[in-house]
Formats: sequence, structure tokens, C-alpha cells
Amino acid sequence: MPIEFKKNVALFQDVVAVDEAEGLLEWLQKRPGAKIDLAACTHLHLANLQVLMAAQPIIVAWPETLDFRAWLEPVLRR
Amino acid sequence: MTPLLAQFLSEARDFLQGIGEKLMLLEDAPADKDLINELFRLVHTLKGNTGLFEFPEMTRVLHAGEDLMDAIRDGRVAYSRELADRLLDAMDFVGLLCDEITATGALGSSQTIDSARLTDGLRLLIPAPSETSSLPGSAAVPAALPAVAEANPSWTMAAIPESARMEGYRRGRGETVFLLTYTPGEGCFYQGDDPFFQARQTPDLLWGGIYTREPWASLKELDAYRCILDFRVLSTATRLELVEHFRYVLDQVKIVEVLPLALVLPQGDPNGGPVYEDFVTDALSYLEAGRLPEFEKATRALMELSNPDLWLSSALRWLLLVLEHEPGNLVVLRAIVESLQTLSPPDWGGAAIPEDKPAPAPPAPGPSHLYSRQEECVHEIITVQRAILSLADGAPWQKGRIHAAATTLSACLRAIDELDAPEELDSALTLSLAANSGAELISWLDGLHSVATMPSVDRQLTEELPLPEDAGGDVLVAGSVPTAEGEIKFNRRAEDAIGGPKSLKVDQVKIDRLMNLIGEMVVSKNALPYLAGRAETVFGVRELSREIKTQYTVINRIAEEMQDAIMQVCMMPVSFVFQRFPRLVRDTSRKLGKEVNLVFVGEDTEADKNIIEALGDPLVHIVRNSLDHGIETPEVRRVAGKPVAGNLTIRASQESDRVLIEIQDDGKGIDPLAIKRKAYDMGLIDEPTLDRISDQEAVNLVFLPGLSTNEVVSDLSGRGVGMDVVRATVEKVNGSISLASELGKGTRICLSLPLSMAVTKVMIIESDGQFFGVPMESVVETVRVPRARIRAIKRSEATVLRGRIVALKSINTLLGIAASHKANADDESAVLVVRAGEESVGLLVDQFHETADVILKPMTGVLAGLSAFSGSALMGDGSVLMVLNLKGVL
Repeated sequence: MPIEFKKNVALFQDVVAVDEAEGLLEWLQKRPGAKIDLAACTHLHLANLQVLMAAQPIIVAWPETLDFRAWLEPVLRR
Repeated sequence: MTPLLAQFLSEARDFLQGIGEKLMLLEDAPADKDLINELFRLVHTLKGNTGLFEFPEMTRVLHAGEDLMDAIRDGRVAYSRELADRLLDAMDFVGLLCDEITATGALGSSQTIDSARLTDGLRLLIPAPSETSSLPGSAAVPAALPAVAEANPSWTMAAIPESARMEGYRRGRGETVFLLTYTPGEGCFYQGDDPFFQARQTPDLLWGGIYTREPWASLKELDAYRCILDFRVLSTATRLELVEHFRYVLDQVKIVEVLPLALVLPQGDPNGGPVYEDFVTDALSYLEAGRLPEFEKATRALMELSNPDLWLSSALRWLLLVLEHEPGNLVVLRAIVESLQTLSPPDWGGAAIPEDKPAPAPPAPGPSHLYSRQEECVHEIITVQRAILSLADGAPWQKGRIHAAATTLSACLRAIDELDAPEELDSALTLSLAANSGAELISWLDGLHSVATMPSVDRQLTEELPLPEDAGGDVLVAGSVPTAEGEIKFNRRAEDAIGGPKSLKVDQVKIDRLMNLIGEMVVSKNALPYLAGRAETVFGVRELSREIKTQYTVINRIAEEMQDAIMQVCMMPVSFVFQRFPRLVRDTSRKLGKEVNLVFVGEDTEADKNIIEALGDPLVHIVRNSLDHGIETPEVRRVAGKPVAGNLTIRASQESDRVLIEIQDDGKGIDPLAIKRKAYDMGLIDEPTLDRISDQEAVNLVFLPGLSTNEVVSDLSGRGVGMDVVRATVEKVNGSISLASELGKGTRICLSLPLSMAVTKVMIIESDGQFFGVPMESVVETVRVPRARIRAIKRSEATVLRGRIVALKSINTLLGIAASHKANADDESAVLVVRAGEESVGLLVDQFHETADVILKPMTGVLAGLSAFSGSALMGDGSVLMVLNLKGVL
């Protein structure tokens, strides 16, 4: 599973593909205070990023890959 | 090459052919809905097929074509000749790409530019969906294309983090920095794209940012699969590398060159306001005196005292950076220092352009060191400002307009180092405002006009600056707006399901093999009757002989049916060669300024594939000749009392085992006198011939090698190679050609070709115990003539057959056989009447035998020189049958 949904935290792992976006959106719609852990994520498809950008959840951990983090931080940091 | 690719290529050619054909038809019936739908379907399917492979250049062009066809289908665009031209060009290009793929198995990126040009050409014909105004230049206004227009018009370089810009500035000393805006289509997720990955992989990435195109919908209504994000990327890769990287989505990216100075933008916390006068005064005086070490020291000292988040610190960092990389560039340093007084970014020119004006040109990037391109820009800005000032419409905002123009001009002046000019400008501005007209400013501009073409201040640095790679490229913000990606329709697949006739594509080689095998089969089955004969005569088993004969009839029937079936497989309608003519006629006649109606009759006539293929080139030649020499220009035709548009009719029909093709035009015809004289002048005929030959024979002289009647050699025809080659080609496949022409009325050329080349039907004749084959197509009849009815006329013999005199020739004499021919018991001679050219000739032979299907093998080696025989064939009993070439014998 590229995204592991826990009670209030979604753990992103490896490459999160395009078909995850729908599920992610549904999950976020139900949880206004959701948290996202990107530590183990190496890439996420733009569709997922778009959902995250729209939902602006709390990012509890940033990706380890620096260039990836540099892309995400400006758009996901609250 | 994978089988899939091979199949794609073969299908693609069919599709291209079909598209070309439909376009031609559409030319005559521009409103035909069915035709448009069919055309759309073809383009659409072809585009879909290209998507299986990595041919973005091809896909892109086809996509544009598809969108254009879609627009035609919806009635948004009317069909026009220009549109057809562009579509045809695009299809030719796709054909070219197919050729390249066939040759190399892949597609290089060399075609990318052409592809982009054609795509743009097609897209230009599609009106933007929401274009309401027809203001001149509105096409350049991004608002005309809402979907992909500049999403954040307010976006500036300041949005890029300082560190990235500094890096860009550093790299920009030696390399070219590009700002790439990537606007993925809204439906790109459905196409399997991941724009984010694409952006992340940009070569030599300096910085990348993600931007939303529109405000976020509430989370409940968000469509996760509608892409509304844009990318901006700063890269030091070459333009070519970027184009290569984004080649699949080239229509969605905009690559703009960024000059290093444009990146110099201090930013940060203003901390209450400008309070650094001491430093500014000191720094300016150091600069003035050229005391750079002190300047640097002062800068560093102030920086140590300041909070790094301050605007001031940012400006100081830039100062140090500029100092480090181009210490001689005092103007830039001074501008940064001066900016500390106002706490606004140094004005590199662009910011001065008022918002409500059309941005006239790229902002002049630096206060100094203009190279020629920037001079041009300044010149352009000044021209636009002049135009604005000379607007005398007395609009209520006239004052504001004058102000704005003055500000722009002053920024330009600063950019080109005319630092003392602003005072004059100011006074001119005051005068202008008082009069509420731009006249004062214009007259001031006129006095200053030389400024715009002033030579550069510092040429030395110019050479260090990286020159833009692509002279036609964009600098900073100029450039075309990416065009709208068509609305993605997911239901289109349903339209593909139009069932065509079921067919199977088979390699020609396999068919040829089958053909050869059936040929051998026919020959070997012919051995059975001999076997039956031997069973009876040699072994005396009559019973067995009869059984073999029964079996033979069965095998014979099957073999014949099989042969027929295989022949059917190889049969093709002549429309296969005809289909290229509409385009040829259209292009050629347009080039020549003639009007031609092309009419086909009997296109579904079928013949062997090899024959059809051999027919192609001669026909093209004949049609070209007709267009070039035959049909006159509209004026000439009008004078001659003919319809303005010429008629060219190509008629195909089948006559027993021959295919007849007739090409007829109603042009000026061939002048027999002119031809005769020309042929005589060129030494092709001698004087007696000149006097003797009939008009009909004269026009047939065009088949002589080297004869051309047209005085002007065009790129179409008239080089004197042509009709003789045509005749040779036709004769090679056992065809014949004839020409009839009437001066002023037109010309008719008839081709007669065999239906098939694989099996030849021959009649077997016997003379002096030897067997010969005579091709059935030249046999008219077989008769037995009583000796008494053969008359000798001088030294030749003749007889009267049904009231016609038929010359008789003995086969023995013709072939040099030293024997006289034999008559049968009733003293009758066997006469084989054959067709030789226009007349019939009777051949005296000893005996007729059956006809047989043989596989004619041409003579090879030393035997090839024997003109009396056209080839040999192997008979069922293993003997070799020589087949006569009547033309060579008679």
C-alpha cells in the first residue's frame, strides 16, 4: 500500500500513484484535522499533491529526499 | 522493429491515404457532414494509434489536426482551401515521419521544430472558444485563452527563493538560464501523465515551484483528477535539452530566457522603512571613486549588523554577489544601493510599464551593457509609447496616459544610460500635461530619437554575455501564449467502433510464394495425362489409365479453383493507383494555374497487384503530361470556346483477360505537323518518313525517346524523358499503349494490360516435329485453309478469310527451319491467325495442339538476346516449350 491510513494520520510510502488520489480525497474529506507523514515518500503523483494542496492537512514529517521536499514545502507548509 | 510498429506503419499509410482522399472529396462538398465525420474519425484513430508509441512529434501534429477537424465538425471553422492545404501538409509530414521510422526504427528529435510549426499552423485556424472581441492584437492578450493563459499575471521573479535566484545569477554568467512555465492540460491525469514527475526530472533544475491556476474549490467539490496546477522551473539546461525533455507536452510549456540581471531582486522585511542614508551616501561615493575594496568592506560591515531576514540584508547579499562576479558593473551596484533608499526592487526597466497598457516589449533588463537585442527592445518600447502619445481621442484618462508613457520613457532612458535626459523629459511632461496632449512629449522624443539606436556603451561585456541560442526565441516575458488544449472527450472511443469489411493484411512475399507453389502445382498436375497415356501404351493397363484420368480431372478442378482463388487474392482494384491522382491533379493544376475536373470511371476494375503497381508510374506520367501540355489555361480555353475547367477522364474497364485504361483530356491535343517537324529536326525520322507518315502515326512519334514538344521545360514534364519510358514500362508487363489525338479537341491514351502476370495461357503449335507456344492474347483464330485457296502475290502468300485478305507466313521460314510445312489428309493447311500490331497475319503451321497454362520464365543468359522467343515454360511431361515472341518473329 503506497498510503497507509491510520486513525488520523496517512503514511505515504515510496511512490504514490495516480489512482490513490480519489481515496485520499475521500479520507481527507472526512477528517478535517488530518495529518500526513511523508517521511518515506519518494514521489507522489500530481493528482495526490493537488488533493493535499487543496486540503492543506498538517504535515507531520517531510520527505527525506531534499529536492522533493523543496518542491513540497512551499505549497504544503501552513 | 516490433510487429506492432510494423503494423502501425502499414496502417498509418492507409490512414494518410484515406485522409488525403477525404480532404479532396471535401473540397468539392465542403458541407458534407458524413465526410467530415469520417475524416475526423480517421485523424482521430490515427492519432490514437500513434499514442501506442513514443512519437510525440507525430501525435502532436495529429492532435492539432484532430482538434481542427473537431472544430470543423462542430461548425466552428468553415472548410477552406487553406485549411485543406495545411492539413495536407501536416499529413505529408506525418508520412515523412513514417518513412523515417521505417528507415531507422525510431524518431529523432530533429523533427520537433517542424512538428511544432505545423501544430501551431493548425491550431491557428481554430478560433479560441471565448474570443469575443476582434481587437487587433487580442490574440496576444493572454485573457483570450482562459484555460492556459498566464495563470498568475502578477507572478514575478520575486516568487523564486533568493538562494535559487542567486544560483541562477551565478550560473547565468556562463550559461543561459531559462524560466520554463509548464501548464499541463486539465485532463492530463487521464492520459497517464505525471506532470510533477516530468517537472522534477527537468535537466539542470535550479528551482521549481507549483502554482494553482484557480482558487481551490471546497474539499467536498474538489475534482481530484482535474489538473489545475502549473509549474515554473528555472533551469540552466540548453533550450534544446528542455525541448527534448518536454517533447511530449511541448504545446504546454513556454520556455523563456532569463537574463541574469532579472534575477537580482532584493526582498525581505522592510523593518519600518528606509533608514540607511549614511550607508547609501558612503557606498555611492565609494562607487563614484571606484574604491571597491572599501565599498565591499562597508557592505560586509553593515551586513554583520543586520538581521538576515531584512530587506536590507538581502540587498547587501546581492551587492556582494554582483561585486564578486562582475565588479566592473558599477551601474548595477549603484542601482541596488539606490534601491535601499526606497526599499523597492531596483527598477530594471519592466516595472515602469503601466498595467493598463499593452506590454509593449520585454523590459530592458539592465541599466547598461545593452546588446543589439536590447536596443531593439528599447526602440520598440519607444515606438509604442509614441503611438500611445499620438492618440488624440481626448479620453478622460489622457493625463494618466501621458504620465504612464513618461514613466516608461524615463525607465528606458535609464536603461540606456541617458541619465541626464530625465530633466528634459520632466519639463516636456509638465508641458504636455498642461496642454493635455502628447504633442510636447513627441517633439521631445523626436529630438532624442537617435538614442534608441545609440551604440552600446560597453561592448566588451557584451561578448561575455551569453548570447541567446535561438535567435527567434523569447527574452524574459515576450513570446507566444500556449494554445488551449482541446477539451478531452472520453466518449470518443465509441466512435471508433465503425465496422469495416473484415480483412487480413498479409505480407506480399507470402502471397508470392503461394503463387509460385500453385504454379508448380498446375504444371505437375499436367503430368498426369502423360502418365495415363504411358500406363496404357507402355504397360498396357487400360483400367489404371482410366482411373488416373478420373483422378486427374478431380485434381485439375481443385488446382484450377485454387489458382483462381489465389489470383483473386492478388487482384486489386485499379482505384489503388487512381487514388493518388486527385491530390496530384489538384496540386499540379493549382501550380500551373489551370482548372481541371478529374473524373474516374470504373475504378473498381480489378487486376493483378503487380500489374496495378507497374501501372502507377506510367499513369502519373501521362496525367502530368495531360495537365502540363494538354489542358490549356482558363483564358486560352475561354477564347477557344471551351468550358473554363478542363476535363480529365481516367477510365478503366475489363475486356476478357485484359484491363483497358484510357486517359482522355479535352485539351489542345497534339499537333501532328509540329511533332513531325520536331522529330525530323532532332534526327529521329528521315525525310521520306516525314513526307510519308500519316497524322495518326505522327502523334505516335511522341513515344520516341528524346522527343519533347514543349518549348519550356518545367519541373513537371517536358524533359523529353517520358512517353518512351511509359511505353517501355507498359510493354514490360506485356501491355500495349496507343495514342490518339485531335488538334484542339484533346488527346486519348489507351493502355491495355493483362489481368495477371503469373500464369500465361499459350496455344501449342507443332511444326517439323517441334512444339512452340503462342501467347493466347495474340491468337485470333485457327483455321484450316485448302491449299487451293492460298494465292501467291509476288513472293508472299495470302488468302481470303471472310472477305478479308490475310497475309500468310510460314513458321518454318520465319524460324529458319529447313522444311516445308505439311498439310493434312484433306490437303488443308493449318493457319493460325494472330494479331500483330494493327493487322492480322496467318501463320502456316503443321498442326494445332491444346492450349495450356504455363509459367513463363524469361530467357536468361546468352539466350536473352533471342528476340524470337519471349521465354520458356516447363510442360507436364518434363519437356521445355519455347514461347514465341510474335513481335520479334514477324
